[in-house]
Amino acid sequence: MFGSNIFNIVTPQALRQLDPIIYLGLGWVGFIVGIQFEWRLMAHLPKRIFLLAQMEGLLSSAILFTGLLIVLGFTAKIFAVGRFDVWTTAVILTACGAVSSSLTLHYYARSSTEAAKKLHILEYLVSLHVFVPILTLAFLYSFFHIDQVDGARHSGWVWLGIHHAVGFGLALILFYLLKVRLTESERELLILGGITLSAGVAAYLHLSPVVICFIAGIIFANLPGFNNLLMENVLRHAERPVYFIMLILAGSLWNFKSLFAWGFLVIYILIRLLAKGFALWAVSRAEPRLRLRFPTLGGIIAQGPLAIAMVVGYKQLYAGPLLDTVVTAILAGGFINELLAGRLLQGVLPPPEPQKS
Amino acid sequence: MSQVIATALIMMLMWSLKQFEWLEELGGPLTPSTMTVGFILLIAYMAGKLASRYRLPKITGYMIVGVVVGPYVLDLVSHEMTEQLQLINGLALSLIAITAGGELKIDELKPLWKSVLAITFMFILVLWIVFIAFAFAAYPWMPFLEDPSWRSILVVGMILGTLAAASSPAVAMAIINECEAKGVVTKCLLCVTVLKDIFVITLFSIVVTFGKALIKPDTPLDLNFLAMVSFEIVLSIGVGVLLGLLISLYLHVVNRENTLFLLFVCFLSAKLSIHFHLEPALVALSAGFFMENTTPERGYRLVHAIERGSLPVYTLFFCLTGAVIDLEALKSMWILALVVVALRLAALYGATYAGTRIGKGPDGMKQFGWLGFVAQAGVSLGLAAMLLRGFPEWGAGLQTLLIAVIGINLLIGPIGTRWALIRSGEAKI
Repeated sequence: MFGSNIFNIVTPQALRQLDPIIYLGLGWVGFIVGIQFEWRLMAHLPKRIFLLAQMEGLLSSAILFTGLLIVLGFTAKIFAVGRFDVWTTAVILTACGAVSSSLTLHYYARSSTEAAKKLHILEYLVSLHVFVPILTLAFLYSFFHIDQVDGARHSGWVWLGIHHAVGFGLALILFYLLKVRLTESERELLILGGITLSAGVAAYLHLSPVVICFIAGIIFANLPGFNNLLMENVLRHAERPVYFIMLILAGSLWNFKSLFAWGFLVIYILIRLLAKGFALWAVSRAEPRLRLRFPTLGGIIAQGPLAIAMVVGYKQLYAGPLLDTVVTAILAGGFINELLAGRLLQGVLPPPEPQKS
Repeated sequence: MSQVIATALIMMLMWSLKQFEWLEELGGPLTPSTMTVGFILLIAYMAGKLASRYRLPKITGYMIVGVVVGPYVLDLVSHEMTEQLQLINGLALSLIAITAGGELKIDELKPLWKSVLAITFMFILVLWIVFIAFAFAAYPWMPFLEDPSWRSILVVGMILGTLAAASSPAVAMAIINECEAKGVVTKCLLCVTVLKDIFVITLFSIVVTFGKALIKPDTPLDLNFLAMVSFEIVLSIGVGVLLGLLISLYLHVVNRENTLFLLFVCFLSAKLSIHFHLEPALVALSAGFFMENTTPERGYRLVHAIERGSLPVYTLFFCLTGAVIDLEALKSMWILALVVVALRLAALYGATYAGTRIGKGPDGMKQFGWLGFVAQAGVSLGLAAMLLRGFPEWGAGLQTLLIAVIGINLLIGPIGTRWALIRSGEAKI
């Protein structure tokens, strides 16, 4: 509503001026997802679940990618869209579509019923399966880098290496900066500064801030002296404003006037449902605890901030005739998927008891 | 040691990016502004730490980093980038000004109002007398005044006197926050700084309007400029009150995600200020003042929640402020600028002393308060920039002198404010 489509408060020029905040938001999401992979905590989880989560990510990505490539291939023939645009669109939609959000599941898993307890395993699965989407995103930014358009200086592998090198560099910088005794506001400033720097480096090099900060988050969480509680304090303080600002800016970036995009949205949601459903069915063959009733499985279709961050990052860097289609598919699709997931879960689970203060 | 390693790593990262400068040739929609913001946040933080080790205010460290990374030294933050970061800078200024406005409670100010008014009026009076006398004594050494008439000299003196009276509420607020200062001197200092800003803007428009007529008596008196500035002041306060009302209503009715809402209000304030040429500090100050005095309890909690998380805001804001200090202007007129700065310091002491005595203000104010008024920033720079339009013959030269003076005051001002708060016994340090 604030964007140029309706009220025009956040004008395109203002959006350009707010670039640092948008990139901070993107990096922030990547970093938060990354630091969840702290080895000391992960070691307590069964390896089998971790592998199954990656399997689920891989399968759903493969199905999504194939389906999208077929649909976009037809579209390209009708609307004369170039191959580069078709491929980048298919890859970004695959990366975003493969991500599921654990927030809806987490909400319903708070209920004390037996059915709710069964959701925990699904919650683990969803929390752990981000590696495949993030790798897909890294693949997109590396192998479809602006440098690759004509006469590449560096190969996609080099750009993939640079993603890792910058992420590693940020983790080391944060490690040394946060090693000394600091007040909470100093810690907050340093984390904000570090993430903004890396997201900015990513933007400068035309790489993905989400990927770089994700890598930095994982490395940082596994360096000696990482204090989960201290980080939690800082992240809790700044998390909601950063998310909300990013969501508002993402909404402002969205041009929802393309009719084709709305038509494509229906196809995208259907392909995603099929991909997620099949992937979950496949992994449930290997893990009986994942054999849940159909509506309960609806929890896996919700999309979260990571998918939104991915698409906002894409919009910042890539142009082309299918851009509005991608943004509509992820933003409107995310909303519809969220509603769908809630409805499905509501059918089998009572709403959780309110938390006692 | 670990911070030294971190700095070295940051420098290495930035240096290694030089290998990718060719990417800019490939085009693409991106600029290095995000990277620069991250870089200056980290480096300025370290400079602030270093400054506080030498008992200097942190914001002096931030501003020195700003000068170094700015367009006149390393050019990491170019002129274009400062333009591009205008909105974010405006957002930071609005946040600082809202907290400053939120510190001004009517109940607490009631016993101080006499001294606040007396100090403000003494400022204008003393600085006018001193700088008009200075202009007549020193005009042969002012290179921009060639063969001047007494009228031109008088106008230059009035302009110098008016702009010398301005000081920076943002710097005052930052130092008050850093020192966690509380007490009558702190309140008085903040209140005079804010009130002076309004007076200075109004007076400046009067001086420019009548100054033009004084220099060229045959041209008719053009009241447009005065009307425009007065309208801008009234509109700034009006918009500020409306925003304050909006915050108060939100705190009463919704009272959730308050920080986020305040950020939205600050964005709105910055955007409206840019769009309608309002005085951004005045808009946000009025909003903070209105909010604090209509929703005291919730407003207080909100202001203090912002203050706790304001370190990144101050760091970025003052670093960018340092980046716009014009070293070229300073280089070309440093001797004259130093004389003006010294004279201003003496006048500030006299005005504060006399004002506090007349208004029966606190003793601490009489002795150390003047140090808190040294810093100058946004308002003074904005007004100085208007001189060329008003006085094309010598406006540019006077503007250069003023920019040099403001640059020096900006660097020494925070040290003075910190000292004033410590010596008056109201700082926690």
